[in-house]
Amino acid sequence: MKQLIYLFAFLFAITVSAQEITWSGSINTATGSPLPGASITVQGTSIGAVSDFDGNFTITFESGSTLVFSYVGYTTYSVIAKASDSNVNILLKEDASQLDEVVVTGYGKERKKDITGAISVVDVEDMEGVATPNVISKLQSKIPGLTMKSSGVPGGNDTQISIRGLTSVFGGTGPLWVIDGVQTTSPAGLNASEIESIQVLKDAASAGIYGTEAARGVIVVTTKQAKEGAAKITLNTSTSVNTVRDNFSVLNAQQWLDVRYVAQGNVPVPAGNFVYTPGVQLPTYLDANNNLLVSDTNWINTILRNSVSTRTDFGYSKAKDNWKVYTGLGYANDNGIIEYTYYKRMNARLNSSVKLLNDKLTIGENLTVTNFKEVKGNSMEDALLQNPLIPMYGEDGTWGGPTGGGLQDKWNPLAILYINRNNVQETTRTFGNVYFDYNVNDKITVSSKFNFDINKFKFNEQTEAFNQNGSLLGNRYDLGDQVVSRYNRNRNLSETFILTNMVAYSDEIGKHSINAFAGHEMMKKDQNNVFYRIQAPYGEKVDFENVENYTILQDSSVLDAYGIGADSRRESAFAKVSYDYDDTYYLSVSARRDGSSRFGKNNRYATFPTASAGWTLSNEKFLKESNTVDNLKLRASWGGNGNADILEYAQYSIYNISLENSNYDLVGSGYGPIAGGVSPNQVGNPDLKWEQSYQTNLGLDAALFNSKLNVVVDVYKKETSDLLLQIIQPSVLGEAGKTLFFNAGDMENIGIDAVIGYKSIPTVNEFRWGTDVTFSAYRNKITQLNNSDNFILNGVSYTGVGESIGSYYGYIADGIFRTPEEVAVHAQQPGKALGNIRYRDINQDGVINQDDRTIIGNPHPDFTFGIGLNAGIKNWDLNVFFDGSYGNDMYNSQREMLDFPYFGFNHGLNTLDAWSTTNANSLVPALNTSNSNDQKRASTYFIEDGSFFRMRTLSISHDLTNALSDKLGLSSINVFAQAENLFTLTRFSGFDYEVPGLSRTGIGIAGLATYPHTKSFTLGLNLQF
Amino acid sequence: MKKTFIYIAICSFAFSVTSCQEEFLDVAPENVISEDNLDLEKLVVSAYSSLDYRFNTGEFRDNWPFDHAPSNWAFSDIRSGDAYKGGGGVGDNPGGGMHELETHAIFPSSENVYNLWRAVYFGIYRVNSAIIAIQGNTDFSNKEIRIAELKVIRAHFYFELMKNFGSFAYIDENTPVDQVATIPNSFDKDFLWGKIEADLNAAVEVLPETQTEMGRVNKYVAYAFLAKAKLFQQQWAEVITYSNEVLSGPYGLVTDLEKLYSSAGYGNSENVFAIQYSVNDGSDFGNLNFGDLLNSPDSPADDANHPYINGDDFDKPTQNIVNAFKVDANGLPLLESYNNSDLDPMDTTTPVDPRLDHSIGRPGITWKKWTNMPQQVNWSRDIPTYGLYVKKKNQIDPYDDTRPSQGFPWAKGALDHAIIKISDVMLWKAEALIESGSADEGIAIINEIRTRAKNSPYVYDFNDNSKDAANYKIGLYPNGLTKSKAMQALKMERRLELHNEGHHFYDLVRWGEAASWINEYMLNESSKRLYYSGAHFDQNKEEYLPIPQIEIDATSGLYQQRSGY
Repeated sequence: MKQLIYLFAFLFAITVSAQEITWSGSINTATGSPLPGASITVQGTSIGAVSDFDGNFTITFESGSTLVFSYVGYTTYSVIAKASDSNVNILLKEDASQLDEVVVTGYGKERKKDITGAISVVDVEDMEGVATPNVISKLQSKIPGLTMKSSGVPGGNDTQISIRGLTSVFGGTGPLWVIDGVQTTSPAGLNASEIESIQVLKDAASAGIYGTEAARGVIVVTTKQAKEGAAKITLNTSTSVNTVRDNFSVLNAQQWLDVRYVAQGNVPVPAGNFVYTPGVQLPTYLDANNNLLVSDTNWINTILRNSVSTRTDFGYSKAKDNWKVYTGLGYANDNGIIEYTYYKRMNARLNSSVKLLNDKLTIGENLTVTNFKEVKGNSMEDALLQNPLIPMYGEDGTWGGPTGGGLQDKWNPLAILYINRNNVQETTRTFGNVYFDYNVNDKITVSSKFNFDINKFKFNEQTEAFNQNGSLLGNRYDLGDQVVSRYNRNRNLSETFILTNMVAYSDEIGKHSINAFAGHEMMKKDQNNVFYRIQAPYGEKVDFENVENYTILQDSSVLDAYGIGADSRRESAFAKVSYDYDDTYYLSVSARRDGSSRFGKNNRYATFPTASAGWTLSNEKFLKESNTVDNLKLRASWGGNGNADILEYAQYSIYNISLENSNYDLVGSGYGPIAGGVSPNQVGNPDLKWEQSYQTNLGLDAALFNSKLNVVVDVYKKETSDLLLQIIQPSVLGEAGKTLFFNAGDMENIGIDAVIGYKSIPTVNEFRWGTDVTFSAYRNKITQLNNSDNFILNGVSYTGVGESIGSYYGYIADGIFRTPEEVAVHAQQPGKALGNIRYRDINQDGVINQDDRTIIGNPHPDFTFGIGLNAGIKNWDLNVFFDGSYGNDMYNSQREMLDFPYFGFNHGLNTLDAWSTTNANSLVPALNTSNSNDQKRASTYFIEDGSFFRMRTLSISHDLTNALSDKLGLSSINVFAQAENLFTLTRFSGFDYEVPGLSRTGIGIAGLATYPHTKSFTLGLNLQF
Repeated sequence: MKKTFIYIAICSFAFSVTSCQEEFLDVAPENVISEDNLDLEKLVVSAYSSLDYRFNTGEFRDNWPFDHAPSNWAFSDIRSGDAYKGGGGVGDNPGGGMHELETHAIFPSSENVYNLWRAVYFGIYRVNSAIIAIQGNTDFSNKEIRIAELKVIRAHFYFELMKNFGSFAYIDENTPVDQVATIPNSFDKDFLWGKIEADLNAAVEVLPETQTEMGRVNKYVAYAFLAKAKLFQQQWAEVITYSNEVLSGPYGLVTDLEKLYSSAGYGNSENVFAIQYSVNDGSDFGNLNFGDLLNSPDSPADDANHPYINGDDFDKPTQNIVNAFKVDANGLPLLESYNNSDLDPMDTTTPVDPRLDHSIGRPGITWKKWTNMPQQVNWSRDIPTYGLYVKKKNQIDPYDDTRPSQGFPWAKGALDHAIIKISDVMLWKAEALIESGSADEGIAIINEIRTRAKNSPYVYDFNDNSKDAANYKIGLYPNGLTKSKAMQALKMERRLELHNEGHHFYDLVRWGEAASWINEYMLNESSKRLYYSGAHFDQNKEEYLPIPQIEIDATSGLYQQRSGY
């Protein structure tokens, strides 16, 4: 009780001082324009003020105090005031490098100028008004060394990110996200407009404080907190129209018939109810019952549409005296460009804190609740391959589909999407933390943070049956005595709790400054998966909340062998000491020791040390007076990180029950329930250990010519050992052998990341411009393999010592046989014939066989880059952003289906240009339905240059603040228009140069089933009250 | 005040430290079947379940084994003149290598061969892990019998590798777990047969003559595999001995051939060992013969008068096998000249063995018990390429209770797939007798099989069920045939009785006739089936499939490729 009284006393006590003075005046930029919202604080007190719209302020304080004038992005100015002054004119100089800005890094905050690692600080303001509902797609190409592969799926949650090349092929390539201290691998549900700052920790020394999770880099996100000043209300809204970006072309009906005819060796083509030879009049109907009109359907067009996506965010913030509150509400909606797919997100945020006990104690919380609903569906592959002769609908109004003949047997691609339309996957995520920081004295702070991340996943899988050509297909089973449908009910609850306790120490003795902290952390992740497969009478609407009303075919509430119900624990201790002398010499060391339940007892703990140093040359005497060099700093760092991101139970052998695959009718009755079996689902590896990487980083920061020119360059070498892989295994290891993880070998990445920026000094109402160029390059090489002295091959993807991970491996397609002589003199190659691909006899033994395979491509780019240009005059601003990749090979496996008419589905346009005696210079093999030459084998025929250059965004914004805001009672009003993906230059001939798939099946392999990317046009409005 | 917070801080750290114990990191799998709570009987069930080549990997190829079916239709029937690949043209090529199997141009990179190798080894893995688990358990009452059953299943799997690849890497319960992937494949046939026979010999010592559950392996099954192994090694005396053991068992020829091929459960007493299929067992369509999924006739999707809607029409009987059913005036096959002229698909007057219309569908002929229409021309998908015959064996009767639906999965129901039928065993014995000089005894067995066909009800005319659908004639061989004539009769009888059941290719290989017979067949057919022109069977190479390239690569070259590939 006594404490409580103290508390109130501290809260409301007003210290009255004897001698008060008042300052008033205005705060302006160096060019003379007023600076609204700048803060004025009295050092050592809670007294403060904020400049008004015209930059004016008034503040009353005790004589002799130090007044501090500050504004984000401007140099802070402080002065000791001893007498009242009513005509103060403060000029704040813009600080282009914002070196004094404090950013959140691992478990702490640092001034930007004190950073010694390779940390990219994202310009969050640049992200305002972004139309995409997902934050991560906006980071693309803005951070050197950060690679993004988006899949085009609405919501963008499937985007893959990798930092500084590939670290691990399995185990996810994605970085660790630390959102307000919550460590997670998924930023799903995070609202871009609530983000205050993003820091990307790229080198091991910066990331190392996160130990086992850090090997793939760390992205630290801080969400918005209220700033001192008047209450601020913001409303941002935008609407986009999205259209498909790439060109998807396949044959039309007539072309298909002609190509088939030639491919079959000028043999008539059966197609539904008729047999086609050139010149023959096509019949009216495809089928004997006159239901299906002969059509010329462009199936791609039937499943794609232009979509509209919207985003609206509302924010309210207020800070006063010792408390602050930020709240946000957001809604985003993206109707996918594939029919019947969508993404909808709603989220709410509350960030607040209060300072107590004379500001010694801060208690606060960050909380987000987000709910997103998705219908994912993708029948691109079906639409590309469905026969164009088939109509979308039959005459009887049912879905059109193949009727045998040469039309093959794919379901109607639009119908597939239609029956999937109610398969909503719903996730509700609650994450955030509560914390306290207590300043024991001005040097020591203790803090405790309780983080939580609760994900509830709900999926009532209720794919329907549909009527195609008068037959009911899909989810409909005739059991003789009854007709039923079967559904899945899936509920997953994942709860992660992280308790972090820390003590921090900071001190300054003269020019010596020291910062240190030590902490302990415990993580507990529990997952609970309940899965039911139920059977209900056909046509009945199912109540998924009461599954016991139905026949339960599979009840996995008592069985979870898939690893999704897996729990894990982690316990860590960590410490870091940073020292600097005179803001010139920096030294920092840290260590973290982690123990994880994911690994076997023998390999449970690991320690990750780091060290870094910095030298700010510009603070040395010889540069201090330089007019050219404003900042020059050299950085060096070294450290170790781990990767433990594998399935939780990888160390255990697990068995599985499956109605289809492990049960057997031992009795032989043939009808009704049968004997249940269990079959191996996973082979455990108890010797599994961390994947570790050690990285050395050298960096340079420079600001030149009044900070107009800024340069950041980092070079690094990252050595990964005990690479965790899950690869193709010989079948003798059984069906579960495929999930066998092991520590396969060692790998290194050597690279460079650079940013060069130029920014003109802004002057009021005059032309201003700037540019930012990012550049990054890395070389990846496998340096050692443990279990295999030769190589690891997974399809076309090759991992071998001395080569880049995921290199392409196969035959060299040495052109096409164009003359009988060429065929005759060539090595023994079964299937060699005119018009077929000639494979090179690499070892010159006269036979084309497995020994003639070699490395045929490298999916890693020579370099990637981003170029941002911005220009403005008066209240207009133009931003253009380009990005690209150079020198990466791609494996265009689309051509396996589309170039060769082996299968009777639809074919690609290349078949129109196939080799023949009259088209002797063609590069496309002769048409044939028989693959006697094994031309789908991995070869250079499918390797293409994946380089691209594109205009990622083009935006124009117009600030109407002065013109309209007063009339409308707003403090700021801004409208913008933006276009994304307006154009791309690439030589890649496939559908989509942006292939997701940093996965175990390979890198840069373009298949048919990619969800298409969009080109979008956005109009938006940002208001501030 | 300060003290309070220091106290809180200390408590908080203390909490951290006290829980700083090893146990915090011990997280055992929850609600999971692991090695600690395995039901051993269920492991045995899953080993049986692998007979159908369907596995738990989540990969399409493992759930839908139709490009590498356990019936071997792709590896025997379409490679040996019993069937054309079929489907929607030569480019309709499941696994990417079905057409190349048919034309004998298969590649090491073929998915079909990889999928087969993969499926068989997945099965062997299940068997081995079950044996290891059972051996490690002292109080499992059925220990000995279950291990013996598992050994027979394992022998079956290795037999499949032997027939198809002529080579395998031998792994059993004694192979240390960490060395499984270090065993090379062997081409030493004596060694490989020795391993297969060792399992079978161990099993016959333990297995009972009957098991309560009909689907389980018993002593006769083990003897049957032993007889077959000896047959492949041409050890005739042992073939006779072991066949006699099987023939003393509770098996026999059923009386109605039509039902044998059409009605679930009817063949139980004729099947010595069969993959047991089931419906309405909780799984989506049932545990059906998905390996033969594609082998149902096509028919228009919008006409319910047809028995199967939109089947895929693979595995289509050849003109050659149809010609084999022609008979002479005595109702005996034309052993030398059967293929000199073609039986027209619509010809119902030329005398033929009655088994033709039980096992091969022809337009105009009654389709099983279907009353809406006889077989139609449009049940064949690509007539110019593959002709008009459709497979009638192992297609369930449209009215059978165990058939899930008229459309997908078409003619599949609980119709079991026989791996060994008693008729097969009888013909092994007949072959061994003829080879060892007792032609008359061998011919007697052949006649026994022919007698069953003769006495079985014939397929009736669609419009008048009192009449036969065609001119059926079947007679018995006389005594006194020479050994070579008797062997000709034996070889012909194996085709007539067992065609399109996954035997002919392996028969040709063990008879040493694969290259000569198949090359002559392809030359003959190439005038009717244009895709055969230029096709050639390379002797001493294509008798066996290539070792899958993926397996060679996955073992970093430990596995050796068969020479020639």
